[in-house]
Amino acid sequence: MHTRQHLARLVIGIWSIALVMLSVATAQEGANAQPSGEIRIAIPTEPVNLDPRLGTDSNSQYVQELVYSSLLRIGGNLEPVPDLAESWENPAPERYIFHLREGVEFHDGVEVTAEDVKYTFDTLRDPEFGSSFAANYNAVQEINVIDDYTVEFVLDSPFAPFLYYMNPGIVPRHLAEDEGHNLQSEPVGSGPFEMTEWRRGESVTLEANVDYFEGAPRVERIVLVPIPETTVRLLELETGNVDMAIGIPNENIQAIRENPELAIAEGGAAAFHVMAFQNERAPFDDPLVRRALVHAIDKEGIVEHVYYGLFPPAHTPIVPTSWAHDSTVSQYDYDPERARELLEEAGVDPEELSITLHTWNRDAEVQIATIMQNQLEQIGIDASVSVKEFAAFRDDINSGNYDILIMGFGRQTDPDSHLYTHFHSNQVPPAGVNRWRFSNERVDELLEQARVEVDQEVRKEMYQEIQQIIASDVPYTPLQYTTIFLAYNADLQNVTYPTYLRLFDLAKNAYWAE
Amino acid sequence: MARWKRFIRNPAAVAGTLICLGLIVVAIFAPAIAPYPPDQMLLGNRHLPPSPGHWMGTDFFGRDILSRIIIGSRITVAVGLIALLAQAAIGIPLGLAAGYFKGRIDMVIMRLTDIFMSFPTILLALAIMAVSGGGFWNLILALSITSWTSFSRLVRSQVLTLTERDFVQSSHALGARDLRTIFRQILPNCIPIIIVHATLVVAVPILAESSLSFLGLGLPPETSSWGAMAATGRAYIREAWWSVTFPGLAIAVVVLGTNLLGDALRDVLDPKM
Amino acid sequence: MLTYIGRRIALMIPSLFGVTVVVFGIMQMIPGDPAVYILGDQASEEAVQALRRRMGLDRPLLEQYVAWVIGILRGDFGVSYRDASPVLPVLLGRFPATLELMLASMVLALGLGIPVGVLSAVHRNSVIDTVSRVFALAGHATPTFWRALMLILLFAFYVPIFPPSGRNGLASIVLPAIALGSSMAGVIMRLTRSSVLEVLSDDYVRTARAKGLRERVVVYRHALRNALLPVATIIGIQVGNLLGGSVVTETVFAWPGIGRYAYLAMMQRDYTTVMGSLFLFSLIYMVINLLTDLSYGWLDPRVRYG
Repeated sequence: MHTRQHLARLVIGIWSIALVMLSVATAQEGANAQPSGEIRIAIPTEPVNLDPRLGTDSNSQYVQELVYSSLLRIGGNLEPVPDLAESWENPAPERYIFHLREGVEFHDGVEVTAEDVKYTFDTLRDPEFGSSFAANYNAVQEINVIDDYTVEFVLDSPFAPFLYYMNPGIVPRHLAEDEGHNLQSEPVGSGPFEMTEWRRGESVTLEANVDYFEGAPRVERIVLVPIPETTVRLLELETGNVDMAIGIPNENIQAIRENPELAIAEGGAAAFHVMAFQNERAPFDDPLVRRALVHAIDKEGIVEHVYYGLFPPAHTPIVPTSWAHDSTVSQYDYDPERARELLEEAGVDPEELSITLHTWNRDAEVQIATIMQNQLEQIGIDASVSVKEFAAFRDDINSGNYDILIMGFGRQTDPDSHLYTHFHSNQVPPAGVNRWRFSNERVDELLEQARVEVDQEVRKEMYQEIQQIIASDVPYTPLQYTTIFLAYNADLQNVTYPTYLRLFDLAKNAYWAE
Repeated sequence: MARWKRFIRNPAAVAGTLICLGLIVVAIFAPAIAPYPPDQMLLGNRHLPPSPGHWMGTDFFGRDILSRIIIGSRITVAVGLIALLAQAAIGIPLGLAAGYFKGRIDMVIMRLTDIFMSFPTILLALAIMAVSGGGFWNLILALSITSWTSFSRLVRSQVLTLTERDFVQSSHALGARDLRTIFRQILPNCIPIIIVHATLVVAVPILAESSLSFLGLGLPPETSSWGAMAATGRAYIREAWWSVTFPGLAIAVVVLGTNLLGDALRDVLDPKM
Repeated sequence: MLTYIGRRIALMIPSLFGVTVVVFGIMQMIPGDPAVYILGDQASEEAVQALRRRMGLDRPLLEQYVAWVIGILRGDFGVSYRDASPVLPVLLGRFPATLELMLASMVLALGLGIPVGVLSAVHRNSVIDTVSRVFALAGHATPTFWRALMLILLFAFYVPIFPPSGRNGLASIVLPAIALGSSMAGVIMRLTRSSVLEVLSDDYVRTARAKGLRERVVVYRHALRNALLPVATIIGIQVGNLLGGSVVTETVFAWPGIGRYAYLAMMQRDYTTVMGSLFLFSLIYMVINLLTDLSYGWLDPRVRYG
């Protein structure tokens, strides 16, 4: 009896091991197979500038992500993970040492060395060079090449978010300094794909880099096709002229989900919209009034209507994917009665209040503002909407010339990146982007401490306290956390959800079903 | 008189006149005619198809499209007429001066006309709207800055023909002051051709505004200009065709009406055709 | 003839000079600073000043203007703010696509507008006349983007005959050309109709008819040639409208032309490219108008180039 059982276990065990080995072997084979096939991806607008130090629009970044490797990249949980740097040390709070992978080559065959790393960051932080990321490196004092594969960053003072800013693509120094080569239109990196052709306005072609240090991509070619009009972009996907589309209008998501030939990947570090008050302008300088007005708007109704219920309403500026997110902050229900009571308490008569909602001409912003206007009018406030072109809108809000503004923010990494520049009282424009002119001594103090605190647990507590204060003082209130949607042909296999990097993992891993 | 009789018997002329008059009546009495308050939002009513309750359906915010088109007629008429006035105010005096004084003045004015004519209207308008930050008066500027040239060329050539006729020359010889001649004798004779031209081009800014709206540089959506309505509705062209089609049709009907009227007026007022 | 062409070209020079003044003047309406726009919100004052220096925005206006005009004379139109490449080669690289689209639209507009106009005039007030006039008006009474989207839905989706977007072979140009050209077709048709009507009532046509020539010969040999003169004038002006319309058409159909590019440059505050494309459009317009003026000679032997 016993023996038989043992024997059966043994047989099953051997078979299991054999099966596992077999599957590993085939998987290995799959990974090593020659890249094949092509994925055509429709993007909203053609890229502007392919130099990762200069091109900041998302369309340029799709190309940069695939062509360039960086020292560290931002992982799925918004944490820095190794890329060109295999490992790093932090021997003193102001010193970081990165150890590079050896033998990694740029697409032109020249090896990536510490010199290229130093050159990339030296140009990034040089104001003469004109990168919009320069401010991220204010704390960097010097960068030293220790040997070909080791580079050291020395800071003026400890700067906790430092590693999060190690993600720009590393450019080849020999080409960057070559007058005859324009990296802004002919990018050369060490990433999984090499750009082989840019037909302006028509397509960007990327070929698989078979020598990529994490293994060759599964597909041979990625072609990015700019198609501005959303209706047309979707039609091209449905008719099979493209295999994937970025920038799908929310109203079409449901229809795509119901279409058996298409699929949807959702993800990406969350972005969010806010309703912000000019905190120095009466009556919005009174927290009671701000709270009242947040009670007066139906956040969930707005999210439900504008985003078809696809995204959760937001209550704090730190996104849920971040380690510093605090889900316990105060929330304000939609309660027009309470809004009226609070206004009365503050001595403000809604009938005499006249508010302009300032925003700029993007669909989501205009839709949100329009619905809010309607909801404010329901408690008797005379509300109107002002929609301007972005540059003019920004001039207004930077000079504090507004009542309430509605705008969106992009992806965030370390909590410091958003909170410091948007809430520290020394960051009122033009110094920073504290456009709500919020000033709170405790918040200033916490922001300064959290910047230099290296212990993440301690930092987390500080950021949670900041989030609590913001939620109770409401200089602004976030509305919803949006992610991005990719619609694609259901025959594509192994499509990974976009993370902070939107196309990177997907382009490396996806392949066509046989 | 016989010509006016022909005008009344011409169905196209009558249709054009009715459309234009209808538009003006609707614009004047818009708030009284609109079946719903045009800004009344009922979020639950998003994109209702046309029905007896909402003849043209509802939009993204559940607002009644017919009511918004009726209210929007005001801004549409304003864009068309004010841009027209601006063009006429620049173009007619320049055309009169060029045709009447000839010589160097004519040359300078015609060079100026050439310069402004050489810009594609939409592109220059886009540039102006993009750099100025938009708004109603910038829109008027953007839509008039190239279009006044058609007035100055038209008026100039008319003046040239007129000054060759005897009566103007004789009055000139009698020493009448130039301004008097221009206003008493030349301008009145240019009026018919100006009216015909104005009728034919009044709808051009309305169409141009719709293109600017499409590119995100027209009037803001809450103004319910027809161009902005059609442009914002286009995202839903498959799910809610009515949100883009009716504002588009409204524009088409007005362009059609003014053109029919213009053609008919030309038959009457400008005997050379 | 040659002296005439020479004189016309000489006359273009002051006009083009005026164009540079107007274009440069409009760019001075900017509220806010292009350097701030390009660098984004978080840029330091130092970086903004550095970029202003590199773009030459810190210099006096007159000096900036002269520098730009020198760029035009040098033949590169200056350097793009956004990707440091010379402006003119990039514009010219995208010009063939727009030229192709404009030519196709013009062929359609003339090929449809002239015959229908003649037919309409000859059969004045008949059913043919009414139908074609309504179509002509509908062609230019609808917003361009609406027409374009409708064409895509009808002929690329419900009845998929043509590709919805892109520039890929002959089939792909059909829908954009119809969307862009139908407005011009309407104008040409109406103009042909009225000028044929006018010519048909002229003395010499009456004489020809009186001599007993067949109606067909009268219309096509005698009347049409004269009637086409005003049509030729309008072609030059319509080129400006086609160039303008190309912005919208190229956007809807993802057509990789110069109109879409100029629009993107405007949205991205790439002022050298915006100024360069406005100047280039004016130049194209003037050259085409010179060519149409010259074509009068072929249409009407009475015109002398004095």
